[in-house]
Amino acid sequence: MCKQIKKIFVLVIVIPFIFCGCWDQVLVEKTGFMTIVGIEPAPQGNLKLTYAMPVIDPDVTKVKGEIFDIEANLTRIARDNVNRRSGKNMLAGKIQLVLYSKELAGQGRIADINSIFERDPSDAILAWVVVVDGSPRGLIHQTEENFTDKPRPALYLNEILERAVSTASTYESRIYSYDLISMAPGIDNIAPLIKITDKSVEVKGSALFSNKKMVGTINAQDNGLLMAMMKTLKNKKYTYNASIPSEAYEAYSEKQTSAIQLNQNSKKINISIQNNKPIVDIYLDFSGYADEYKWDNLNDEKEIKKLNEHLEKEIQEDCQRIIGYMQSIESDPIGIGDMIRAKNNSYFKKVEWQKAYKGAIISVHVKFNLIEYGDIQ
Amino acid sequence: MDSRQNQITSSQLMGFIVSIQVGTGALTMPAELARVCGHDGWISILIYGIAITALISLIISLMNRYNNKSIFEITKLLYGKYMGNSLNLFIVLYLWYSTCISLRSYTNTIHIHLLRSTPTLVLCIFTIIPTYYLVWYGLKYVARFSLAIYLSLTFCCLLFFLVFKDLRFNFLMPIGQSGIEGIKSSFSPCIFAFLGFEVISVIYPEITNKKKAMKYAIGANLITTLFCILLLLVVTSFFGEEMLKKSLYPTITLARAYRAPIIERMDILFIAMWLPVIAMTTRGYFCVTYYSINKLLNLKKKGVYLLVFTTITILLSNLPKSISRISNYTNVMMIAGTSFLMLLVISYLFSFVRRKGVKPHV
Repeated sequence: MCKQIKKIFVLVIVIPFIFCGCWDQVLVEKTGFMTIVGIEPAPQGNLKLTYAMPVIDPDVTKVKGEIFDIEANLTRIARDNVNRRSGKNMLAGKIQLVLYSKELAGQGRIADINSIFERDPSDAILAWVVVVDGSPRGLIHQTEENFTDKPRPALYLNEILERAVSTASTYESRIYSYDLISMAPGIDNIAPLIKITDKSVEVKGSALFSNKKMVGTINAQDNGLLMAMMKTLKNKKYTYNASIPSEAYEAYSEKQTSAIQLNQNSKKINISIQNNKPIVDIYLDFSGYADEYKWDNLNDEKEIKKLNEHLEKEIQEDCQRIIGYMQSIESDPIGIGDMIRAKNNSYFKKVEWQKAYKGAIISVHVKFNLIEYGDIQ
Repeated sequence: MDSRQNQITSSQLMGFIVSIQVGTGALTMPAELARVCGHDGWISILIYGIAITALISLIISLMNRYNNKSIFEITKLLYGKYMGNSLNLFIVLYLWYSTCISLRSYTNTIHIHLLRSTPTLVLCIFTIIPTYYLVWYGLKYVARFSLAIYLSLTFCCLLFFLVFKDLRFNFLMPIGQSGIEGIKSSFSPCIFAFLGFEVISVIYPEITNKKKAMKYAIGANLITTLFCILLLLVVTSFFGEEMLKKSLYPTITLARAYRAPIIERMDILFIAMWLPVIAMTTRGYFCVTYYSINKLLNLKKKGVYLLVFTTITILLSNLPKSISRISNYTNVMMIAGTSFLMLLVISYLFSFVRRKGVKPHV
């Protein structure tokens, strides 16, 4: 028995060595790892590209990173051109962020540019697809040169994006997920939208797409509700800024708004086709935690009921407003079209989905239940 | 090869068949099926899997009708010396061809995903060294090693589990949209995915506990069918039909798309775990081909002939120069494989007409 265990132990240790092959030699000292790529349109169909890579040379202490600005018709050609200027061999396998300008996103060229990441297996398809309100080149230069109190740009941007996703302020969009959604019928993409402010970069919300083109934006607050309708709010710390019922009794506070952390319990979408029109009912079930509220009264059942009803109405109105906006710009990130394609395929084939979506009757039904309110009443 | 070195048990046969069936096919099959029958590939696999199970039971029934004989002896009994020898030549050429194509597909996968600048010939030589070593000792050792397939399959299932939260089951609907046409047109990718079980007809005399052979051979096909269905369900609901149609190796892309903490590049680990699986397809065919040649020609100088056979295999596997060429050659393999299967079915039926060599009371 002991011998067998020894044999198994040896086998487990040996297996990883046998199963791994040898890679073509890559010397870290001679390699430049690109971490951010900024892409924006240039005249004559060209692309204005900006590459950022950290400097890991111990001899160079003054700068944290190196930036290359270049213009080319293809990203691969641009990389080759940069390689002729760089002191190191540039590798794209460590790219963490691909920043597209709003203008380029509006032209619907993101999926096309992304193809290089899919085609070349050494490229990372897990890099973020991010839309920049402004110039990606400007943003990269600013973060690299002026943000001395921040970590390296790639780390900094990655951190704020991950945090924004965890608070449902934006949607996680990676190259592979962006590409597959852009090809799937009946569903549209959504990607993080960032903007440079005075001394930092801010996640403004999300960019909305329709038929591969960016057609609108949604702010960070509304993005949480959109996540709920997409059933991706679970396990996220989304704080909803709600108003306080006007009839709520309060002696010590003049607060008119509250901060309620929403937890999504479930989502259900019912779809039917009536008079050649999709009728969509979205049922959302939330439970909540009062993070910030007036001083007291939340221990009163009647007050809680009043608050629940008030919030149900408010969330429902907000969701309905978001849906109305998305219908007006023909953007369907929830994938209602995909659900109709799956369940009412003959109808989906018959109609032009973007138009049918615009005319669809979509109703949101919200259920809310406040379950906790902290250490005071 | 010493005759005892070739003897395998039924459970080893099961691992051996699974290892030949699941290999390169598992990497490309989801994309090929998406191109012909959209998101309904799993239905095609299920239907063809059942058909192949019937075919396996038929092959083993054919083998059971004769006393410890392989297909090489059966063809001679059924069709006469000249016709039988010609058919045997066809079988050996098919097996050899399959060896070369699977070796080329293997090196191509490594070439694209791992070692872009290493020449294919060098990859072929290094790939074949462990195969050469195992085949030197005999079928038993190749079959024993092939049991490692279960480790790779388990790892693959773990990957499926990890990506589960990213699956969109709507991508699998509406079920059965491609209809009968889709099932018909998925014939060649499905058959290619299952090819490998036909080696039973060649190595059957080497199975020690033949009574259990049927059970284990069907078990092997069941494992392959279930694995392929699972793979198709996961890959299709992850990528969607349209993206899948554009992919070449969606199973590897699936590994690339998983964000693993610490490991980061999951695809590298996946390829490392999957390499032995692809190699096993080559190894299985290589071993069975050499075994067949050895049996037909009764070769004495093992060292010389195995080296010659290996050298020719390496050189032949280098003939396809591009991916599209490999695809064309693979089609030929599929056609030859189907012809071999038809030969087995015809032989079974014909064995009722021409009963020479058939065991009495069978």
